[in-house]
Amino acid sequence: MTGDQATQILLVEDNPNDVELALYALKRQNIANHIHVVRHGKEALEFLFGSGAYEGRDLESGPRLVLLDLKLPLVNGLDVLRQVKADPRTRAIPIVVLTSSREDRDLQEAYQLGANSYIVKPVDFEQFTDAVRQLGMYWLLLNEAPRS
Amino acid sequence: MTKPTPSTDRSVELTELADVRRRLTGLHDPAAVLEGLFTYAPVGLQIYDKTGKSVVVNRAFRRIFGSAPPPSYSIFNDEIADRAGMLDAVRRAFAGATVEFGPLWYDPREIEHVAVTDGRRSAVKVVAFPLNDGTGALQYVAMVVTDVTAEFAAAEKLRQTESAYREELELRERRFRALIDHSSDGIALVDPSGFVRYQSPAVTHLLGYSVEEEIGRDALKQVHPDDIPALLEALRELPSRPNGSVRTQYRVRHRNGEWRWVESVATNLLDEPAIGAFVFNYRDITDSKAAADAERRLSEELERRVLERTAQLEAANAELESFSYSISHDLRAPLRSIAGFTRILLLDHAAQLSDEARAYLQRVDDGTRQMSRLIDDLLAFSRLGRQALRRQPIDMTALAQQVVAERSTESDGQRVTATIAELPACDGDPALLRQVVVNIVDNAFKYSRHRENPVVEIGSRIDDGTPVYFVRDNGIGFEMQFASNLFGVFQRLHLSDDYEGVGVGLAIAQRILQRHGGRIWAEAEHDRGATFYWTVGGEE
Repeated sequence: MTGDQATQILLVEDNPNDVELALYALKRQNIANHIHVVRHGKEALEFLFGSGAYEGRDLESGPRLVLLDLKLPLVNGLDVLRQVKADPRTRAIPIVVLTSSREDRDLQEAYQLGANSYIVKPVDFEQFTDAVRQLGMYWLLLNEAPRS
Repeated sequence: MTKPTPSTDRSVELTELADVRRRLTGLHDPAAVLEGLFTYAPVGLQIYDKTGKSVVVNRAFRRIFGSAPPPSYSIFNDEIADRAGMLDAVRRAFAGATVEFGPLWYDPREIEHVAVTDGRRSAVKVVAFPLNDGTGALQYVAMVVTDVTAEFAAAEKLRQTESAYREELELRERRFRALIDHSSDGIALVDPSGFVRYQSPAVTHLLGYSVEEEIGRDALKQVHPDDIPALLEALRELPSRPNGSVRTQYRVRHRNGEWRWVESVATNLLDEPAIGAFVFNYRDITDSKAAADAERRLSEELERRVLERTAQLEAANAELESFSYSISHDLRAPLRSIAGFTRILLLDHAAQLSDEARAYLQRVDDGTRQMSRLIDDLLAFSRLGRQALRRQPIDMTALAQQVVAERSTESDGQRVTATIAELPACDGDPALLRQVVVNIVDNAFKYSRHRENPVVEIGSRIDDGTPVYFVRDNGIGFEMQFASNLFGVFQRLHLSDDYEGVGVGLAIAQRILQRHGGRIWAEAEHDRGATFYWTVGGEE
């Protein structure tokens, strides 16, 4: 899983259907080919910090963007967000919260913890692919990442 | 000189008289002495003959009685003297005795037809004595009359005043005693050492004791032991506060053994000479206290129930909230899968599908869209109850114009002739009231669009000083018997095939208006259009 190629996007999503749809949308929009998928929050943290199953992973190799679901097993999305934004090594990685929750309190908390965007997954597939395209364009192509 | 000693001793008087005769020798007319003294003496002098007729009176007499008696006068025929009680004494004088009587009232006004005097009423003291001839036979009776009218009147007046005063005092005493005796409140006087000095009769019906057994008793004897410390504490400062009073409540044992609650006002009247004690005014409050206790228990019970109910409601609310939360997550996820993969099939694999399969997939796609809206609406509806109202003045005319303008860019909206009257402003939450207008206007557009010339009219009127807004359309209307179904969640009066929407719009409008303190209602006729009315209300 830890290929030599730089990982452009880390997708943190436990629902395999949503993973598939997200990948479909991203590929269809020709945004990213190097997408790494993890299925729960603990794995996401291990990947991002190069620990556990990802011991020794080169942190310089990305990701350039994290798409983060909030409702995750083991460690939930808000906790992942909190730890990533609290660590100087990972703080600069843009994190887009991608969730089905429209609850104000989740949105507020996500922004407070430093989320860069908050996208409610639309049920409508066209809207979904459109949203994925736009956020991919913005964060990967237009946004100039700060040099570490 | 020997000091003259006043004496009534007859022998002293005779000696004095002899002395006068001896000293006044050589007078031309010794009788002149008598005549002068008679004429000028300040006391009234009168001499009767032995039949009772007045022979002579002096000046003082005329001054006292106003005139001399007429020639026909006889003391024995003097009704006034008779009435004054003089005659017995006068008769004794005619019988040879020296008599003194009075003071008494000689009051001619009592017998007006007798012209004895000028009618002056006089109080007199009288000395009457016989004057005999040489043989000792009675010739005359002399009367010395002292006018004591002024003194007597003063004394009498004093007597009357005293008597009236005494009567008044007695009356007051009786009145106060009656008040105390018949008072339903008890009154006790307690001396500084704590013993009952007086107890009003009310104690008998209040506490069963007789007044006699109460007097001299230790005032605390019947007080409930548990209440004594608080009572003593309440009374602690009282002895040092003249005229001060303290209100306390405590239990006292009734003669029948029951404890009665009394409310007592203790007043320090130690310095009041007539009292010199602590006055306890007390009344039985057992029943009213029981009622107050019952009322307090009831209100505590009610409060407890309200708290319980509130807690239940809060729990239910929290449950509902977490339910909506999980709906938004858990229902949406599978729906997204269905919608997503259906779209992928239609987008990427349409060529491999039959027309029929594509049509079915299209239906799946429509179904997911509808369900998605349904979930969104349901969540929006449930959020309304939790959202705080932010009231501010709202220009309803501008709001209606905006909403209609937005609709007019849609293809259906372009056909609708919408008129907007000048609307009164109101106070409300701008976002929520905008939602109300949107939902009602949408409704009007939706149900009139099948008309040849759809017309939507927005206006207002004033009912009892309250602005009533309305949106009228010339659409398909509805039967009034179903009007109450209009505002329920997912209630629809028309087939969903004909009119899109899931039936939450009017329910949301109603919920928002209710939260503002307003209301919404509708009037319609089948196929003759509908009018929706609403008020915003002043308070939540």
